[in-house]
Amino acid sequence: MTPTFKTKKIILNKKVKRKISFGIISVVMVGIFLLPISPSFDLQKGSIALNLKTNIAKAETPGCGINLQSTITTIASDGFGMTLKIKVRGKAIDNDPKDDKIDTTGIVGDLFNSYKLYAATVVGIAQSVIPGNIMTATSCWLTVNTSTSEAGMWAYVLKGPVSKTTQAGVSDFYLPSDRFDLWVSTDPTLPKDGIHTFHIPINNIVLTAEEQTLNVTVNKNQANVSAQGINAAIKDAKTLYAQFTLKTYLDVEQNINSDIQTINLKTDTSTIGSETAQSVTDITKKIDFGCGITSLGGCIAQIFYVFWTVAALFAKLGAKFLDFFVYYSTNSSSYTSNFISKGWAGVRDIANMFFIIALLYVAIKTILGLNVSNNKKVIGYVVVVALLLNFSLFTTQVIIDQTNVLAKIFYNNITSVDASGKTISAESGGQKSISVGLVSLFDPQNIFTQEIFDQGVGTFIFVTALLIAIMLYMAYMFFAVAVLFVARTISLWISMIFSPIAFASYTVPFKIPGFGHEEWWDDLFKNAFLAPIFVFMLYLVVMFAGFLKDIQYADGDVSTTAGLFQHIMSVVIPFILLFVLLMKAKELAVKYSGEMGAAIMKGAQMIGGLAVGAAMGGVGILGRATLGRAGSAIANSETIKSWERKGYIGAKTLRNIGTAGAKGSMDLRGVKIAGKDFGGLTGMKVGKQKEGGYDKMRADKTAKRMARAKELEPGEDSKVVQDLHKAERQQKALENEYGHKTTQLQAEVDTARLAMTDAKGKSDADPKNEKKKEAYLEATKALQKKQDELSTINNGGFDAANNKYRTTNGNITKKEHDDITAVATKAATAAANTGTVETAAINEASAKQIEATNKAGEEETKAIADATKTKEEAISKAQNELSAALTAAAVSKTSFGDRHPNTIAAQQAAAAASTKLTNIETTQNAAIAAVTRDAATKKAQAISDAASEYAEAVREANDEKTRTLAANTTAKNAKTTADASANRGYGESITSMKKEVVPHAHHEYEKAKNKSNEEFSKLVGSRTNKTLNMITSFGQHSNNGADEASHKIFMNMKTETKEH
Amino acid sequence: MIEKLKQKSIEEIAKLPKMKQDAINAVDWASVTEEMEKKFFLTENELLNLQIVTMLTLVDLYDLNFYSSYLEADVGVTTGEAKKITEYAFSKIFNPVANKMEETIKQQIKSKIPNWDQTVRFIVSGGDYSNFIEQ
Repeated sequence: MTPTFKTKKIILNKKVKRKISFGIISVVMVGIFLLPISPSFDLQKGSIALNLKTNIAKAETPGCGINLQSTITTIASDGFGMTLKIKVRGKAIDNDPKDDKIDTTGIVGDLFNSYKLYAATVVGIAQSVIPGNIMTATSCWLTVNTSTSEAGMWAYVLKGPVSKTTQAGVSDFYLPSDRFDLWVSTDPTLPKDGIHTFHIPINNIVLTAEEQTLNVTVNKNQANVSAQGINAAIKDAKTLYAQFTLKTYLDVEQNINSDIQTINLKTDTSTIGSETAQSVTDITKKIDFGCGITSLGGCIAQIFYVFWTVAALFAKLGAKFLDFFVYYSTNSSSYTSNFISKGWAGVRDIANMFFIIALLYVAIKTILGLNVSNNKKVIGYVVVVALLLNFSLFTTQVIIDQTNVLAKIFYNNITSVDASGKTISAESGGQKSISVGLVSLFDPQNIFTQEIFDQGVGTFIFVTALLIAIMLYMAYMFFAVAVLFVARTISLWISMIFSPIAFASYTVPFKIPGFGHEEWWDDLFKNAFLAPIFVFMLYLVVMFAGFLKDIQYADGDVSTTAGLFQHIMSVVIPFILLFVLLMKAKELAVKYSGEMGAAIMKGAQMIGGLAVGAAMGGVGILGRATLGRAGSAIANSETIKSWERKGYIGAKTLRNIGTAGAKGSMDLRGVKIAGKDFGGLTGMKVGKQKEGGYDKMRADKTAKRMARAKELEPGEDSKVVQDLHKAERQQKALENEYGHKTTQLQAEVDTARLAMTDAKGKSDADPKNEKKKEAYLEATKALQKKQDELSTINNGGFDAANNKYRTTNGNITKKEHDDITAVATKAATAAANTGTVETAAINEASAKQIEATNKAGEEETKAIADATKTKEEAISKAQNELSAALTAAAVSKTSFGDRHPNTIAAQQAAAAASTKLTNIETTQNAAIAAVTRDAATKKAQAISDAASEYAEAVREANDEKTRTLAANTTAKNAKTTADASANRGYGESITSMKKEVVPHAHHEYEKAKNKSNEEFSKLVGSRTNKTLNMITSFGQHSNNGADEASHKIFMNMKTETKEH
Repeated sequence: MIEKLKQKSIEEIAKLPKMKQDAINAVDWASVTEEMEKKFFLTENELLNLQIVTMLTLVDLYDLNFYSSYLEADVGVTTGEAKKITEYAFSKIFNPVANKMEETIKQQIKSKIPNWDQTVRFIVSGGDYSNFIEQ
């Protein structure tokens, strides 16, 4: 079915038509009105700082003039271009140009991110300032060394008779003129963006002139020029001048708001030393987005700019209020006005009436006889108080003065520093610009950079809206604090004026509402001490401001979205911190603030109530209409939410700011002092405060953050948490099961250690006493034994006596299983090799037997041979003796005859030798026989022993085979049991639980938590234990392989321990 | 300390970032462990194991959270002793190392601008300088 639509003609009556026509005309009129406005904004953007130093030294040869060196120490250009002209001029004594010499060492410059292609221009001008003193051609030489410049840099001489162009390298220019210009420029074909760095030393400019000028022109963007300046040595010179002229501009082609500053450094021979100077030039620029039918964005920008101006004025007004009232309220002269003393005198006279009442009261009591005994005391009391009443103003002033002096101690120690780091001096009366010091912390103007304007009108509107928000919050902050001090001052005035009533209230038998001494003292002290407490807090805040300045925020590339937000955060975050701190300071101080009487302000409430209420409400309306709406848009922006989800830096903060802006009432009527709001405090009917202020926002935010943190943590049902709980349960179960035993053993270990230490001490004291030494060794063994027992339980292991594993759940541990498997494998291998092992053993025994038999035979042969040799030697010797004796007998017979006694003696000796020979033969034969017998016996014994050993070896081999097979069977059975146990799941020992399983589960949990909660942990920073964070900051232990690496190191060192 | 452990500790410490190396080397932890030997009546074996555990913890191969457990398991001391030794080791070794690292970070952030998020984390953590450590 096709749907049908009915059309209805809209008939506009005349009234509606008139309204529409009026609307259109109004819009056109507004457009026409806005067009000639030509919206343009003077925005202070920054400054250029030039720091100079001039060194003056005497010439090497006394009396020959002075040397001057001008050095530019820093040129800090905050995004602007500049031209720096350095001029050195020397005046000679004798006007003889031949003696004068200015030697220029040149200029070195680094130029980053050149915006235009004129990267740098160096112009050297040398000219004589003395009429008729013309430089000679031969003295003008210029050397330009561009060899260190980057490719594409080139130099050429523009003026002068010689014009020579050169590429990179060393070139000499002959300058037969008294004037030359040298240009060094980047290659025009180079891209505009990027970094171009060059160094242009200009050497050996030797001129017979008295003045020399060098110009350095640096185009915008992060120029960093270090120029060595000019070295000048002028012989016979009397005076030297150094003149630095700085011209700044925003654009090479548009010299907008150019500002020329000249610094002169002059010296003469009497001022040898160094002289420094600094020039800071503030730069402004007109920004014009236009406004017309085709550029409505510019019109909106203009409107936002107007709002911003208004908000800034509010903030400025609040700042002035703050500065003034903090100063005024803590200044003792604020409490010495005539109206106070006059008011006090009036109140004192009224208070005197109370004494009449008191005396009447006593009189009536006396008449009626009521508690008469006390009357005397009351009368005395009245007299004393009547006297003291005259000192009530003095007493009050003393208290106020004392607290003001205390406040001034802190106040005078507050040093306000502006955005450029310059200390702001106090005004003549001593009033300080505290607000400037506070604002310099975040320096909201700094939020605008050239890049933000370059990004177009949309970004400009966004940033301006943000600035409006900041300005309004700032105004709120300043006003809130200022009002606190207004209230204090007024409260103290009231306390001073009504002090006689408070004193008099001591004498009357009833309470005086509002001005009784109890309330009066309470108000006086609370209000008086409000100042020192708050100023002290303010002092802390300013110090904190300094701390925040030390830790700066990295500024990103503002031309990108991420960089833009980083840049914005660099202003917003310090502001938020400052805001919170100041509000907290106020909150603490307010606890002690007093109340002002509503009646005192009754006269003012009718006049001022409506006006002040309207003004404050107006701020709120403006805040809610602009900041609130913008904040709401930011907070609900899907784009920003998506940035937050993607983890873009600052997105969450930005959205939170938006939320705060949306919820914040920005209504000063909500400012509370001592529990009362502005209306209640002053008695003015200022209307009701809108709900939803900063505190509520902060409470919501905290709750939200906590809830979010909780959500992001791994839940109870997640695997890592369950694993962790399981591990902890297992450890607990183990400790429960073995806890009693381990506790007992730990105690025994402690006892054994003490015994060991005691024994060691005794042994050390008496080292020669063996018994003590032995006792020490015994004690050490006992300790070791106990430690082993404890270790067995802690580390698991098989309890053979009870035939069970000492593990958590009766299951075998992985280590035990591995050990048993290794034993079984080894036993199986041994069993498989049993035949081979047996044969090898038997063969070895057989070989030994043969060797022993052979050895016995050899020994027998050798013994017989030795005996035979001995016999032969003995017979040979006896035969020689016999032969000698026979020869001697024959010689004697021939010489002396048969009967001569000599012959007879010789013959007898020969007979004896013959007998000896015969005896030796007999003896040796017997000896040989004996040796032969003995050797045979030994041989037989050796053969017998070898046979026995062989038999034993065979038996042993067989036994070993049996044992190996049995061990194999045992190991196989153990493995079967272990496998079965392992199949039910591994158990863990107490140690492994403590050392590995639980830590591992913890790490896994932490990893999971960090992973899922990375953003939160980044922002909140859950780590608090400094030592823990520092030592574990590189996260090695949680890396893969850390356990293995540590285990390896440990085992390696353990081996070393044993060796050791 | 035995030579082999000395060499090993030098090797392991050399693998750490320069800042942590300097911090560890600024503390004579080996001497402290030798003091602990006398203070807690440790045997030579136990001392060596204590030194190994301490070294592994310093180079972050052991988790500092479980230092006490490692002492029980690897050194063989009882739970009570491990607690006392841990307290002593923290006061004489780990805290000084952490303080030294903190000093270094403080010096570094004077010359090097930290990221803004590091700064925010530092502030919200209540002044934990480990937020400035470049991982």
